[in-house]
Amino acid sequence: MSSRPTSSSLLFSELLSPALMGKLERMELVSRKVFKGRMKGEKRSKRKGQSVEFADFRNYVPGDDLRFIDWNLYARLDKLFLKLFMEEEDLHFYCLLDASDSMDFGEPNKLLYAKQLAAALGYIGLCRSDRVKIEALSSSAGSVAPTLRGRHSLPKMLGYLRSIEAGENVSLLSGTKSFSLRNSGKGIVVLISDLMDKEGYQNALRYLMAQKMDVYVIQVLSSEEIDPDVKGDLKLVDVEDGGFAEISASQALLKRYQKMLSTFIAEAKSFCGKRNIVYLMANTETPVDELVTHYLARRGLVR
Amino acid sequence: MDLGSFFTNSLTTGQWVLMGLIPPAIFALYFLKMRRQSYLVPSTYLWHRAIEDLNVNSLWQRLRSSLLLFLQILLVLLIILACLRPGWQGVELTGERFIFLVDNSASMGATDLDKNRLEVAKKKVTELIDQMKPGDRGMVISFSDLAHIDQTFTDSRGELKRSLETIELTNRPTDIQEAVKMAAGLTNPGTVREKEGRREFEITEAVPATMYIMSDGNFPEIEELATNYLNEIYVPIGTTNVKNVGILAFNAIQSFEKGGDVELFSRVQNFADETVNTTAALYLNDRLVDASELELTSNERTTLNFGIDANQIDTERTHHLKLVLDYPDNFMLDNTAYAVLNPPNFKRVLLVTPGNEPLTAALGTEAIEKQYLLTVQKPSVLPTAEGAPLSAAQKEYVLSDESGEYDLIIYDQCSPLTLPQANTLFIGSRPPGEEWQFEHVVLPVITDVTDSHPVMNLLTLDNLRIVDANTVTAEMGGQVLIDSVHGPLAQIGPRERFEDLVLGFSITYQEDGRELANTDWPLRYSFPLFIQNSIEYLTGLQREELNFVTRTGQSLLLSPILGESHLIVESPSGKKTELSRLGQGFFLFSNTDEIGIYQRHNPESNKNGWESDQSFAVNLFYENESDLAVQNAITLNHRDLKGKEAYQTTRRELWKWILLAGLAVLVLEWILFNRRL
Repeated sequence: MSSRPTSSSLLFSELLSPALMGKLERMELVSRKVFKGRMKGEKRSKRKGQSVEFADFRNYVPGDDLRFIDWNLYARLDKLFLKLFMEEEDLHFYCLLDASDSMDFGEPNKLLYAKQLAAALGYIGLCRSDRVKIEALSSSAGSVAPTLRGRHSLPKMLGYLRSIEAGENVSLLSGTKSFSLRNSGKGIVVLISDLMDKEGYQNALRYLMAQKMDVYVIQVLSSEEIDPDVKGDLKLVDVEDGGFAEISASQALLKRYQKMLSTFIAEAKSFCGKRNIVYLMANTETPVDELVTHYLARRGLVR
Repeated sequence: MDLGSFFTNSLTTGQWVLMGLIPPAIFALYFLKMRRQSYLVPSTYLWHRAIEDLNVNSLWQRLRSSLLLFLQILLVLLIILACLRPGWQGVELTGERFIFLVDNSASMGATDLDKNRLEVAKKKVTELIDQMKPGDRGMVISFSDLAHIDQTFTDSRGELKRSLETIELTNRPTDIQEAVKMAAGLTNPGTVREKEGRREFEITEAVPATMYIMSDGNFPEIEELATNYLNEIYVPIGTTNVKNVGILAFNAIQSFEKGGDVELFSRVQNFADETVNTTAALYLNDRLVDASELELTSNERTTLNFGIDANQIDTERTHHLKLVLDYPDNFMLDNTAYAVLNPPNFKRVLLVTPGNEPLTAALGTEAIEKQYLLTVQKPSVLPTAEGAPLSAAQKEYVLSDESGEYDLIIYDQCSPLTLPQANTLFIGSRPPGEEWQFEHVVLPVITDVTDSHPVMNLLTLDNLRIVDANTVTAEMGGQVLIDSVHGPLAQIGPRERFEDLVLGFSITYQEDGRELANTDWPLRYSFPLFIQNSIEYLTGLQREELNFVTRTGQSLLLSPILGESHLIVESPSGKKTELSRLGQGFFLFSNTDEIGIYQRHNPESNKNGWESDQSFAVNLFYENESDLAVQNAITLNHRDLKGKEAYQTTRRELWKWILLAGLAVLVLEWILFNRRL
């Protein structure tokens, strides 16, 4: 683990490979809800607007722009109707990264994996002129993440991702709380975390739900967690809080651990399912591009 | 089963305390978790939940999960059990002292058991040694016809086993007597008292000992032995039906009566219970010269005679003869027998006489000429007075006398100034010095002849007429050979390593240049017989092993060929022994351990320019050794000792198996540890 690249030494290509970029350029982020955007973008908005896509008719009231009157209809019915078009707006895409010490673990590294995932999703958004905001969970608003738009912002996004370092040991709850307070915009929020919070992840997700956001949870787990390779009598030390658990590795104990893990995952899945949150468990062994192009596409996050 | 005999304590109390501390120590170490390794995990969240259930469980629950601990405890318990040395069917070794008599005679080399019987005996003794309790003491004695203490009493099992290993097979016969005597003597060496100041301490007191006799039982009965305090146990080694055909006798005689043909006699016996067909092959100087087919039924004994033509024998040389039975049995030692044909060993005899026709005639027979080199001199060769100038002949006489060149000097009607370095026969003259006294008698009547003496063997001197005679008195004590009414007429007396025979009357006497008879003895048969007997006796020919064949373990008298004072004997394996002359001018050779042909060398031969290449053969001609059937009982002090099968006395030890089980546990533990079963 000591040989893993530190954040600052990461190359951009390690976060986002050119091959993957090629695939991502053809994709787009999909929201299951239609939100009001702030700027003109490529997403349909609730607002009617000036896109080419027809939306509705309404009666003319004085003061309306004459350019939108449907003259054909006027000729047929001799009444003035105003043609309404769908407004195409930008999508708010938030990506919340859990940068606690527990994420900085595993081979391949969970945090790096999360960053790669965020970079891939963020790049899709950038390509589609969405409002992309990638943020590490933190209790304070001290490090405000940039809001990015357009493909030219890619280096900026990667630069920010690169600057994220493990050690932000905030609970999921306080992290999401702080995020929710600062970002009121509607949109997609993807939480990338291992959900290993001793206080529980449920309240944190409830906060996100309250924002009426389209919430996605990607739980990143390393193979060390899924199938721990422990032998003998050990004192397991928590990298986050230094707490320890003394175990004597035995087949029974390992079975019990596996059971606990699957229960934990099942709980998270059912919790999310009840609240219309899309949950995805990601093993760090699964390559990022496969995860994005297959799993997330199937879950409907990307298209 | 008696638990006391099932276990044998092999540790001291202190060691047991240490051993007992090990299991609690393992428990303690386990629960103190002294050696728990730190291991970083991303989160103990799930782990805590996983062990939550286990933690609330009982101690037993906790132990169940730690198979490794159990295996360790099991291993230690097994080791402890092994230290108790459990065993069964062990006849407890009684007494505290053990004497192990190990037979290493020739018959123990029989291959009917394992490698040979001796190895089996050693193995059984090793097993017995292993049974000894701490503090018990043992002694190892090996015996053939000689007994050898390989190890005196010691409580070190290691030393006992080491000395046991040094016991080697010999080719000797068996005689347990000496070994038993030795064992009895060493067990209770009488009441030894040591004075310290005025008080006396008894150092030893009679302590009973157990004596194990490891043998095939083929030895003569032992009688009249003080074996008090000895508890004898006879362990027979061997089987009853052993395949063996052996040569029990083999000899070669060159008969000059038959023109120098050699006759060979041998005796062969089949000791097995089945009929045996074999071939006996005769080798002369390693060249096959004759062979004979043999069919021997069970325990049949037969004689085999061979003949070798005179023209194949060069009388100047030594010939080696070998008889080989071509039959692969369990005992190969007695399948080969050796014999030698030596060139005649000429004895040197000097006759100093003014002239004695009957005597020279008696010495001139063919039989004597074949074995003796006779030199005749006039009395003038004898120095006349002390310090007088010597003539050339006299000088030669003095020189030959000093070098001991002659085996016998006959002084007829003359006497030297000093007695020579040789045996002497004085005829009608008194030896110098005061030892011998003469008293003149006339016409003595012979009353008695000591025919028990070899010189007078088969002689009758009845009605012998003698004119002038002297009674002979030997001051230092001699043996009377011829007695008369006046007193002894002939005596034989010892002198240093020589013997002097003094005859009180002369055969002839010189008068006016003529030779006249003093007795009518030369006209009788007894005269040449007497001459032959006396020179045979006085030259030592009678006591010599004429056939040059002996048996292992028996000593041999070798006579000097050229008056040499040292002799080197080379054994068949090339081992050289230097011998010095004993009294009577013989060499005693007792190192006859090896079977085969021994070569004798004269270290002074270069000086004399005549290399003697005489040989002699040593064979195993013991019926006791060749008869390999093991005796189920032996007789000791008129008591029959039944053989005890060794397995009854052998304690079957379990500790090796327990240790193996311990090893298996260790391996299992290792596998478990690595596989996280």
